[in-house]
Amino acid sequence: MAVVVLGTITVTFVLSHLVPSNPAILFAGQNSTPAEVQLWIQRLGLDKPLYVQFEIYLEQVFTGNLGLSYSFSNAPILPLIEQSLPNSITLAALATTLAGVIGIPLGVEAARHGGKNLDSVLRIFSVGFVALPQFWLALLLQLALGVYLPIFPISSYGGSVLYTSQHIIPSITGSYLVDTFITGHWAEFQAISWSMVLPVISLALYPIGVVIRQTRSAMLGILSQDYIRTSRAYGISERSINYRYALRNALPPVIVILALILAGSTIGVVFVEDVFALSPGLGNLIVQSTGTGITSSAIGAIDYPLALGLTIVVTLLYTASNFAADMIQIYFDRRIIR
Amino acid sequence: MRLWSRSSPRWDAGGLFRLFHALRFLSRDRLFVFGVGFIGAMAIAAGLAPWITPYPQQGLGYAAEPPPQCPGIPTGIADVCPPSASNLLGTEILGRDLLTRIVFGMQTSLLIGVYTVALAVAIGLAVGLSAAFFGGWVDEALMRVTDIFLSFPHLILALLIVATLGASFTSVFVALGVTWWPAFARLARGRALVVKSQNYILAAKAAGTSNGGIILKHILPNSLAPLTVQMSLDMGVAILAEAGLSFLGLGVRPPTADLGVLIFDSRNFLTTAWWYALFPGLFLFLLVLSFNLVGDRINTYLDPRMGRR
Repeated sequence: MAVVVLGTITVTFVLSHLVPSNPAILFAGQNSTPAEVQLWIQRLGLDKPLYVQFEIYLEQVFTGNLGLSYSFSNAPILPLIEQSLPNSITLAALATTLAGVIGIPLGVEAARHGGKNLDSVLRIFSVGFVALPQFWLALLLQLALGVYLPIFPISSYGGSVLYTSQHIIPSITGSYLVDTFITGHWAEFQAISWSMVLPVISLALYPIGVVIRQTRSAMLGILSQDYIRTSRAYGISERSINYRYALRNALPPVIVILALILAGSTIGVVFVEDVFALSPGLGNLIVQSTGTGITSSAIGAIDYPLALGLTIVVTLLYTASNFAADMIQIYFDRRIIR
Repeated sequence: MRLWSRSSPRWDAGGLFRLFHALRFLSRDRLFVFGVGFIGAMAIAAGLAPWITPYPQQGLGYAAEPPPQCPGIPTGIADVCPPSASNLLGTEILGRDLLTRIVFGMQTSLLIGVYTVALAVAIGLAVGLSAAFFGGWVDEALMRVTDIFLSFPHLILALLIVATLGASFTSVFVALGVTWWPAFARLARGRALVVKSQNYILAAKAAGTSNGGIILKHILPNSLAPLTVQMSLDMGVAILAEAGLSFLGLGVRPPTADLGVLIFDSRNFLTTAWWYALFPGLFLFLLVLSFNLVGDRINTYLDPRMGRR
């Protein structure tokens, strides 16, 4: 894991030095004098040899200093990310939970009807869910349930919800959903959860497909074992056999997959937050950093420090989830530790 | 025992028969046939796009001449018209025929898919085969690098690479290929480790074949088979990733037609022009679905737990 973190930082550092443009000019602004540019060159340490720069960069990253962002008027990057991370994690966690709650029972049913009609139908669904482009699905949901049947809002929980009420809701965890819930602001909580329904659905379909397949194949492996036949012979009900005897043993690989899904949903979150214009979030930040959002039409204005900072943070989260997946696997199956 | 044979078998015994058996079994599967059929049809349509689409000039990026007129309908730069006899799937933001743009977009998708997978396979094979063949510290070093690449969320890295290189056709498939290879490297290494211990490799060594020769002529052809399934599965994922990059504005640049760009452009017309968002995505979905179905069916066929029919 440490190797991965070091590797990430190295790769991002190398990438940042492949940039054709001079960061000092970007920081100083378009109409700056050579003296100002010189000042920024010194401030950013660009006049030092590469290995010294790398040393400085490493030191900064490990002390939590990810540098300054030039698309957010030279604001420090870490607070920007800290501000948007909780909302994105909430989305990802809700989608993953939904995937487990819906995918696991469907997977069990598919295995129970192995080879029959229900299994084939579920198989088509799971393959189909995996093939759905999430950004298109999000648009279709907006079209169907936001425009033609206006049940859900087509965009934004937005910060405005928190400020239009009589008082400002304190930021405790940073996640709007959790904050409004624990401070008991029910109207706002309802508004926010309502606006999160479509984003969560569009995020969840892909993992549901994955979970159905994984549960099905794990269950098929278990259902053919002797103890299941023995339980049948004892006259234990089919339902009990499936959900209490078989599922319990089929679950570990599925839980591992769910942890991996949580890690992987960062990418889906980017698209979904972008489509639904969910403002403080990783998606918004990533789109901003690559300089291609709807707001910034000028291509090529890449906010490098921000993009690199995001890559490091996202990779850390990703690695942590992977690590958690490994730990879960070890917890369920001690034989893995050699 | 063909211990002293100078050439390795290209396919192990009965390979051709097994291929025939596989095709006969799979051709009875409706979903597999649908997948192959759709991919084939789309590949042909995309290949013949300049000849079979109604407005090939518009597919290449030229504006509609004359611009379509449809009163009472939202306008982008030209009229965004609903499906009609002259524009079967309607028109897009510049008044161009949506069907034509979609077929040309398919061309982009398929090409980038093929290039991406080819690049990923090339890097993966080079890394995997050398790791397996040389072993020792070379293996260790190469596989650690592979692990690092595997632990990135690859679209994020691809985003960064495209942002660095500047959005274009080449940078998209380079970025995707460079982030995609670790899976192939692992597969190739696993297979090559098995092949390496075969007698014909020993024979080739005894006959004085160089390391490069052994890797290229003996290990490579015999390690390809397990990669093919992964390749068909990854085509779908690569096409999806490409459309995603385009959707974020980091893909192919106009005037090249692209499904992701079409969907991105449609966002401003969501409330007024349903066809605009629907059709490009539908084709993208069906294409990816077909690749997934084909991969899924082949996997099922190869899965030992399903029992040999």
